[in-house]
Amino acid sequence: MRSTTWWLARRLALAVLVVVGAATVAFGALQLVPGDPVHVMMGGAAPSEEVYERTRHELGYDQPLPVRYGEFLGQLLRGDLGQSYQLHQPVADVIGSQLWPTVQLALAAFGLAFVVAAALAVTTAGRRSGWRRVASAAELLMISTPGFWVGVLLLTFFSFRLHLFPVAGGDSLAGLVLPAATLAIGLIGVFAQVMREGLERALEQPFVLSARARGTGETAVRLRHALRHALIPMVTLSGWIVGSLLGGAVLIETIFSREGLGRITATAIAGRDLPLVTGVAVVAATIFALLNIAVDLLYRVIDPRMKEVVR
Amino acid sequence: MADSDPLLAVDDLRVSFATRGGPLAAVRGVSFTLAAGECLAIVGESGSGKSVTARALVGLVGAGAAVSARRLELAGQDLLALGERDWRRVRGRRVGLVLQDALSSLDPVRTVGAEIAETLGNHRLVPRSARPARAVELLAEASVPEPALRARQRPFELSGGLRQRALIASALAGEPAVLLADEPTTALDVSVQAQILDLLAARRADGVAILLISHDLAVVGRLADRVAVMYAGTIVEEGGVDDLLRSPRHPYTRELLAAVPSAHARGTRLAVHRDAAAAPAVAAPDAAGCRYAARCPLAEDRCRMADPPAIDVGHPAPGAGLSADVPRPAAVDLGLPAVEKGPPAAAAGPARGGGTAAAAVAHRAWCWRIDEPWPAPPAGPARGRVQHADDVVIEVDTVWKSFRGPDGSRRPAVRGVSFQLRVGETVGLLGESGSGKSTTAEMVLGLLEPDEGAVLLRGRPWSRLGESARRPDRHRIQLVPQDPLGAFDPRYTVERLIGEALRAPGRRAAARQRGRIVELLGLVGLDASVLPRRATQLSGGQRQRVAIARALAPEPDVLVCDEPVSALDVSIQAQILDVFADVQDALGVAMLFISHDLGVIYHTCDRVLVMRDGELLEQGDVERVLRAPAHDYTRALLAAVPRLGPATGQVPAGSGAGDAAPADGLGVGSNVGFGVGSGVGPRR
Repeated sequence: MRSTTWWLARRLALAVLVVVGAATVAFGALQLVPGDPVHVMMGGAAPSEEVYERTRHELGYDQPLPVRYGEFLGQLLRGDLGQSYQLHQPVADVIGSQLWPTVQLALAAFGLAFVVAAALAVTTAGRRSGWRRVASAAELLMISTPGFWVGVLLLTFFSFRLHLFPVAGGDSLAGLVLPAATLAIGLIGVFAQVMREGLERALEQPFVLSARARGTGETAVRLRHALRHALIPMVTLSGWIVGSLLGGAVLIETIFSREGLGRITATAIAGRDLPLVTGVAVVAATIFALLNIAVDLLYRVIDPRMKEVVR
Repeated sequence: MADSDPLLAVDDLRVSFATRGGPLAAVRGVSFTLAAGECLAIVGESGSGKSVTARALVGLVGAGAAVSARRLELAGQDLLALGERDWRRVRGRRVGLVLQDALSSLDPVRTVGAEIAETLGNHRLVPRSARPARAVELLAEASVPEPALRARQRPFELSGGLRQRALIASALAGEPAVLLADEPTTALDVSVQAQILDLLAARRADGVAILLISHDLAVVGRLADRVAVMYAGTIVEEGGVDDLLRSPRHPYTRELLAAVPSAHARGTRLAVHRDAAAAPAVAAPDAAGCRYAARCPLAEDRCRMADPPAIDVGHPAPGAGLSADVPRPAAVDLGLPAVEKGPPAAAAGPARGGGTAAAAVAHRAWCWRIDEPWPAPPAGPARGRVQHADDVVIEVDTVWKSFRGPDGSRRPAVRGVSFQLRVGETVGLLGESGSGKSTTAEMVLGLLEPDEGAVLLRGRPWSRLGESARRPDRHRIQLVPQDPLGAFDPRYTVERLIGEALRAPGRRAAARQRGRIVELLGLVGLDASVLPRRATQLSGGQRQRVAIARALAPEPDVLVCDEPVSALDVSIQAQILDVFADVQDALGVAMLFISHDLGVIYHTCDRVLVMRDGELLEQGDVERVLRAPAHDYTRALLAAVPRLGPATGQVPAGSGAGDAAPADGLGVGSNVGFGVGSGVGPRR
């Protein structure tokens, strides 16, 4: 128990370092961008000298670089990510308001993909049947079909034709179905193949033979024994996938006219809204760092042997 | 026969697997019976079909396998007619299965208690709420100390012995009448092995019928009542354990027994064949005749023409002495019987085994040539064990090494070990797992720095050197690993593997050294035909030969051999031990030979070091240490070794073809622990 607490404390400290590092890189990149940020901030029109100086002072750009870096870090620690040039709102507020729809979409897509893939993998692993061949072919099709195309197809069919789900936006659950399904379809194939391979490897282990020799049925062997071993590679993959999904699924959000991190990031990049881009980078780094810890924690839960290994 | 209704009846069992090259017969017509409270052992090397036979009895030979039999009955029920659902009711409830290596045979992520409770749940033997408590009881019955604590632990948290007990407890949880034990003690230390065998013997005494699958004749001798020897999918000889181990008649059984590196074989060759070319035991495509003929030194034409019939060997006359002209082993007490079984066999007498009259056990061999004298083992290399000059190659001077444990404390692994290794000498390093023998070897190899003390190579410092200072001398010490498959790059051909060790890395450079490589292969009994093969295309024995050739390539002064034969079948092991003897004879290389097997150490080594818990308990001449051990621990180790009969594998030279009545090796020496009842078997 004590070792787990220590391990967690160490990992959290490391995560803070990672986030500060990411923020520093973002801050540095900001300084390298050509052009005067004050001008960008104030829009196209040429301001008077006085207004310019006042804004420059307000933004703190008259301070030397180390001072500004210190202030940037200080703000960061207080959760202040600065002011968006374009939206004229605090970056933290902008991201805060966009985070929830993205989390909803990412988790819904991930959950859906996981359940379908697990069902496919458990029913077809290690079986040389026609059903398995059909499943493999379907997975390959799902992997290789571009998400935007699937999205458009789903929209056309379910929204325009059948009017089952809203065409655009919507905070409702119904509005979540099609975008989540679109994202999930791209993931199911990968998940199912990773899990099936893990299951097939586990099913060849001697402990599975032992379990069968105790009179354990095939379904129980798969769910009780093999699946847990197949989850290890799956967890590794999930950490990365969920992280990417939370970073924003720009295409899907655009197709379904949803709010979300992906869309505001795309807009911010196009409009050179550097504080917002920096903020998104810092948030993304934080999410990845936390997900990594969660993944390593999950390893230890799934396979207790890891406690001896993961340091 | 008295047993009218055996518990398990197998008649003409055949199993074949569908492969790309057509069906491959793994078991071809095996028949036996098993009664309650009896232990039948099936012995054979890997690929002989012994495990497949066991798995057929629980319907778990795998998909794509075809099983057929004239009769396959468990307590009168026809197993061949069972569907998958019916099989499930048999598995665990009526037939239990124990596999080797509980670390991989118990689900590593589940608690031991959950694994045992699974059997209870599958057969609804105990209500759900009572299962954990019953699991603890079952662990206690398997002699697991602190069972309540152990039930909450996972296999990797238990020692090898406890783990194996837990696995046995899970197989016995459903109180099956038959227990299939597939290599249940392989990979365990001898003392732990002895405990597990005692546990199985106790269950047998309770009336459980045990089918023991093993390649280890010593284990078989300790537990079994009857033995069936399998070769290439058929039983080639069967009989009562004492009878069969003491007077083996089929050439293959004789080869197996002769291959055991017990004391008597010291200084002689173990294997009949020097070269690796000997036919494998794996079933060949359906050719007529005895499958062993290709390997058999006694084979004649008719052996290759038709399958030999079962020939009744008969029983040895009680108290029959051994012909005087059979060469007796020198170290009688080491290789000798003391087949210590639960109740002394002599006391149980013919009545042992709940109704199976031991005296009625027929001893039969499927061979025409059972009365032929076994060819004398090829003369061993003249091991002039006096040859070693007092030339110390390696000097280990009071080395200490400790490692940091998971809780941060330092745990000593090696504590003040000192020894010397001289030119042309083989020193054995004997100890159980965790004794510090591998750590010691790593310090000798210069892969670990001792905390204190020093290792000297030819009188010069070897430890505490920078790697750049050590590198020029690295070639002087080479390693022969336990598992060459893991130590070889799987993409490399044999030529490249050895070429690399000749400082000719790469395919083309190796090809330029081909002459030297072939020469090295010749030293280990291989020829140029293996050059283009990769490690996975070699047999286990060939792989180990390549590993030895590779270690010899840089002309080392010292070979460190880390359990080099422990993963091999006994007949392959015999060949490899012979290769070591040849190599040392030819090159005079010094060897540090790590093993947990006393027989191997005795056969191979001049001197032996006995280690426990990082300490060197005893060292000295191998004859002295193993015959008259000074330390209690060495004595305990020796006592734990399951013993074999005199295992010379020789039919008395006097028994010609005419007189078939075997005057078998009973009553050898002073150690007549038992006699095989009074039954005078039917003579031919």
